[in-house]
Amino acid sequence: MTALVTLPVLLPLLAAALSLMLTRFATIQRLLGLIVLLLIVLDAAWLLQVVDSEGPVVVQLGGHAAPFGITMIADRLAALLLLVSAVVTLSVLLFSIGQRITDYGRDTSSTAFHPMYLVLCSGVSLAYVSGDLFNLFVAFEIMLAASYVLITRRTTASRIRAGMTYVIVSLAASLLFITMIALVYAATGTVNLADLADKMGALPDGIQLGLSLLMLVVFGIKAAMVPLHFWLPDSYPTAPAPITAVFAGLLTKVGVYAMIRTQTLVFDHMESWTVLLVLGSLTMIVGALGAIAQDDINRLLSFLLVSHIGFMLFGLALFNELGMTGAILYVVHHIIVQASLFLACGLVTRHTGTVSVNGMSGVAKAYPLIAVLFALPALSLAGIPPFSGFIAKIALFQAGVQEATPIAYVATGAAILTSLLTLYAVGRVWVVSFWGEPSTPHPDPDPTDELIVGTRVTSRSMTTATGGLVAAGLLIIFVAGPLSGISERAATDLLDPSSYREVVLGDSAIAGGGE
Amino acid sequence: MPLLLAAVLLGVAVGFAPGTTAEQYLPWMPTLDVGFALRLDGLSLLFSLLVLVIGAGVLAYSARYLGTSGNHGSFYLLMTAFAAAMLLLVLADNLVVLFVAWEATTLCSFFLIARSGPKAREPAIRTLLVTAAGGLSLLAALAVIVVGTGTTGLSEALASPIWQESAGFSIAVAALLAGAAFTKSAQFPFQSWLPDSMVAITPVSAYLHAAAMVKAGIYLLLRFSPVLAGETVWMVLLISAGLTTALFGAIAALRRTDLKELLAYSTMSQLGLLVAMIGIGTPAALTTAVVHTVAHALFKSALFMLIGVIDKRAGTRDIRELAGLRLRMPVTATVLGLAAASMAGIPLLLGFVSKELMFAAFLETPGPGWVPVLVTALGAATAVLTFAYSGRIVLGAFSGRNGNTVREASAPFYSVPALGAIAGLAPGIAPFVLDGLVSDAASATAGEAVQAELVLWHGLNPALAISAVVLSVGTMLVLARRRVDTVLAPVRFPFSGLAIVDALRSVVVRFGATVGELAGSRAPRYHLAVPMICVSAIALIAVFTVDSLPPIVGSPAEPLDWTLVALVLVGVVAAVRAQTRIAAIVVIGVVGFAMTLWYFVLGAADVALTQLLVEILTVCVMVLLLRRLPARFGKQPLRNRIPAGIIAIGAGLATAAGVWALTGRREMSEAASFFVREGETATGGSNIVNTILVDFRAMDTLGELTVLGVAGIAVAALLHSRHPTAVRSAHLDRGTPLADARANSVFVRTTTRLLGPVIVALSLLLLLRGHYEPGGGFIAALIGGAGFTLLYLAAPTDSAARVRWPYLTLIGAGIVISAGTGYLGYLEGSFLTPLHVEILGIKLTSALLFDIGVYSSVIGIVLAAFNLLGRRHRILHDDDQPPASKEVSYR
Repeated sequence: MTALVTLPVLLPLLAAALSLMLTRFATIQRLLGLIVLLLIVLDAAWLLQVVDSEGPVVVQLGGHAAPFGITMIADRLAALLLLVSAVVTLSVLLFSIGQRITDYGRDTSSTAFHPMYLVLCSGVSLAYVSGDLFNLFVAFEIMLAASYVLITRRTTASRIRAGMTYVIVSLAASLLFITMIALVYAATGTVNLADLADKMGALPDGIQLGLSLLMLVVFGIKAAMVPLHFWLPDSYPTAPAPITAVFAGLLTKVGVYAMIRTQTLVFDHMESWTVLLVLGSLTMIVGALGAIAQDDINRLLSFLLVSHIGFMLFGLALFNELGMTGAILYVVHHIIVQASLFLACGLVTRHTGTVSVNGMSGVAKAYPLIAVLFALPALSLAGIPPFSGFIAKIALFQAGVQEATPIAYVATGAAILTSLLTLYAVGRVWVVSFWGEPSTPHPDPDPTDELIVGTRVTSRSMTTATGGLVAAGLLIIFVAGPLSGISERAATDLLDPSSYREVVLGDSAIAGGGE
Repeated sequence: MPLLLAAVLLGVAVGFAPGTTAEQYLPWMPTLDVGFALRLDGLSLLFSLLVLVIGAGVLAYSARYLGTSGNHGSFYLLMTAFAAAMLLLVLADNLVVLFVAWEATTLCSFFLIARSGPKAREPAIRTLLVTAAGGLSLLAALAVIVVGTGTTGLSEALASPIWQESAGFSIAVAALLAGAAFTKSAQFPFQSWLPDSMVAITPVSAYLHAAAMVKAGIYLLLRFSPVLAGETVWMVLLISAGLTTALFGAIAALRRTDLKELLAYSTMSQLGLLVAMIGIGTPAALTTAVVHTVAHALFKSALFMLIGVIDKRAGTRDIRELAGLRLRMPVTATVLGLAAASMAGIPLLLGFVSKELMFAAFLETPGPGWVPVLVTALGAATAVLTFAYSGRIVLGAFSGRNGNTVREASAPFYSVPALGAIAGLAPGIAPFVLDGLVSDAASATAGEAVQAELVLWHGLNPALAISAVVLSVGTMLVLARRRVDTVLAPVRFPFSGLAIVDALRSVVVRFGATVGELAGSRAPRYHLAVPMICVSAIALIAVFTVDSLPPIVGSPAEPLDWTLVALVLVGVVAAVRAQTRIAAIVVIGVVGFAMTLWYFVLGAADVALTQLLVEILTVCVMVLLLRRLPARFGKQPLRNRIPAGIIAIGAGLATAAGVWALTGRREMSEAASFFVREGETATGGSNIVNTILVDFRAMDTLGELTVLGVAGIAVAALLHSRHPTAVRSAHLDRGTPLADARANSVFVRTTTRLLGPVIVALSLLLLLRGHYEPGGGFIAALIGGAGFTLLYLAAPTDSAARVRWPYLTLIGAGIVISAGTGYLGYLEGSFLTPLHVEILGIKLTSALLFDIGVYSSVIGIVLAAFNLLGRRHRILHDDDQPPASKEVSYR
């Protein structure tokens, strides 16, 4: 059973290494990736079922009891996100393969893409199941290192420079992360998350506050929390569509996940956290405002991405069960929807040859299927019922009102305003770009750039992948019952981490711990 | 299809005992208490009938209106979807489902307006914005209700005692609900979208903007009347907004020449009356509201459809243009007159019945004495104006006496509106036929049993007197309509709602553009400033909140430490001040070597060795890069350097404060003492650093060696797709001895030949003994890497260097070996558990295998650096070439 936890990390890693050694065999490379990610989807689904019925699954690596070795643990939240992420990574890989075959032919293999993509998947999985702060850092490093390659490969010099913004900011975040770990270890003598939960309580309040704020900043950079978001709209749009899709869908969410995990497990937040409420509201508003004036569709979506991170922060900041449920639902919804939007946009720009909203028109008439694939997630993002975004929003709004403090009301108001601005932003894209008479495609400005546009060629697997992801988003409507059930149980686990500590440290450690 | 549904529903209604309700429940999100709960009571029944009957009528009419040519599939689909949404809205017994339906009607209306052509886009967007804002107001209201009452069930929520107990709660809900209803029903100040949306085709206007969607707001208000009627905020909001809209809508209607626009303003005005009546909230007023809803739905949809008929036949619907045409449409004219008469409130029509009731209700408005007077006066004024514009419609449409003759439309075309108009006649003469339906609806609305007795003749009472006045003044206005036109011409709406929406929108967009521009810089200093400022801010917060720190354990600082700190500091300052890149690298090297020394002083031999080797290799690789970069750093102006300096120093001080406050204040950690005490028994290795690397925290090592490998691939990917900037050529005089590379490298080559085998042996030795003595895969590989560095440096030319190994395969193999070893651990219980085997008396452990993986990867990355950066490479894989024959086909 414990293999269920390690496989999502190790399988893609092994596959990445094999893929690196098999660069001469294009088909094998492709199949390897697809099979591995499919296996992870199955693994995660099984794991979720197991975890939901029997409680968290713990692996003490090397058989060393916590806190001496490294702990991997899958609880409901981790298993749920593993599953959702695996669905997204699988779809995006299918899309990429379709795109690569269309553009380079069936026999072209890749040194960088397949191995790095799998390494990225491995890092994401490790971040979810890691029960150790330093190991979490390693997970981030794996994920980020692979993302550096993916964002800078096969692109123009000016895009590489934009990619460097991403690399530099991420490295700075890593530097802060490792500094934070050093300080945490210096203060508490442990990096095991469950153990930290015990030891942190013994420190003076001010130190606890400082460390928790430092963690907020570290993960806030990754999650693009305002005012740490500036890098995101500058760098994400420079990557090819499938890469942006997986970055936007997953990487920011891993930051949010780490934030949720550390703030609930390690620190004692008895009531709603004003700082985070304010930052969450700012994130929502600033992102949405930034989005409405953009002309580059990818940049517009990137701002919306920032904006909607605010919803998750809002849910987390409330530190009550409903808020946490809402945050989890929102993460699940947003991973899928944001990724599908970027994929759909990729399809659109391939046909229109431009990323400029004003530069294209009549997409709905010329490519009705693609228009539908864009419209459904866009409506969901705007929180239009009965799509997934709406389901997540109900819980958040209820939570905000339930909290009944002035700042919670303000945050709820900000959430409502953001929904409206989002609707306006995607509505404008729809009206300007999708309606009207089809425009002639712009020619591809630079054929060596993988942001290939205006080729008019999409393969069936690209549309299938996008369609599959959109369908996954729609599926949320129908499984809303069980999904909100799991999310609520996951939220309960988060707010009362005693069972998490118990399974990691054993009962005795809890009894002796300084709770 | 709606016809069928309506029939079924009617069947249900017939066998429906008064006052009972039917319920249906399907769970959706049980944990969030959301399910498809449907409930049919009097109010729902009445609205369902309206939605279905009028929907069926409009669809039948559309078939004629649109004709058989063209593709109208999406129209019928959207109309049917709209009807379904509306039906769900009035039947929902769950607040969330109610909201879902509400938003669905908004969306359908957006698409229905938008599909009417390019000029419909702006109105569609504006309509969407206004109604979606209202939707969010509704959502907020529902959230408040759900939290307050603890249920999402509509009828349960309405039954909660909180409405009476908490004034604040009721006020909040009342204000939010009113906001939602006002946007949907086009009430002041959200009225602007309704006339705007008239760009939609006539059937859409007839259904959505006369009979159905705008009634959603009315339904919502009626639905919550049982708990909110009598609430002061509710009354004030509804009555004032309702009457304002009623009056101004009527005035505006009188000024229009486009008949459809006139009807739009008239709809606003009539809805205003309805809202005001609901605001009054007495059972009589609510009953009136119900009756008037029915009356309005009938005559307004009929009017819209008739104007559509005229428009289709005459090719215009503007009064001024119609005056130049001779309309010979007797049936249409009669029916139009009938419907307009109902709107004007002329006896024998349902409009009269409802207007009579309305005045009676207005007169009984609760509150101080002047309120009923004012309300009735405004209501009467509106009624007069209504009469006037009703007359204007009929007379305006058929006033032309000369010009081209327009003939009557075919019977199926006008039959549907005719039915609607006649349907207003029957209950007008015998209003009691509606008694049952209205009583049920009014009972549901008033929260108490209401027995409506609709009669034509109420006897001589104030309401009748007012009606008489209204009729006579109205007739005068119609007769003197030219004069009225000139008087009203300069009158304008206090402010144009459209202008406000547009102004608001452009302000927000401009602000958004500014916000968007805040990002958009590629200079790293902007991106790095915020996180670093955050670090300083956190330190400041901590300084002010921390009152006491744990005592320092032992005496952690030795004098030598301070010397090393000084050394590091010198290195840092020198690096910041360095003008050339090479100088910067050298002084950063100083910092690195100072750190190495520090590790040695502390007794961490392995860490120190690693640090040393990494330092050496880093310098070698960096020098390879330096060849391609400008020698000097670009000059930064002082205004950039000063803030950057302040931020950097702040962050540095903050980190230093953190280190001071947190380190050295506890005993050795649990984990550390465990490693020291039990490390060897647990792992079989005596080198703690190595056992941590390959055993206790092997997963971290596996991860980090992946990161290293990825770095190698990153270089490969970058360099293979783009040619790097050229190497700066040294200006070397060919005549000097320095120019001959082969001769110059003799010494190094000889040294290498001697040292090479030693280095390889040392590297392998360190790998093997790593578990027990200083060494291990990482250090061993770095030493091996140093060997390759020597080979590279000793070679006379870049291409002659014997470093051409398959580095990517080495990296991949390293990861496979390490990860694979991890899985071997399952033989013994858990992932990454090391296995110990004794072969021929030699103790072997799988940790060694793991270390070999590390070794392979690290060697791979060192080789990658020299191969990729140190040599002129050719593009290796197909993927990394620009696609040779990409299909580009433009039509």
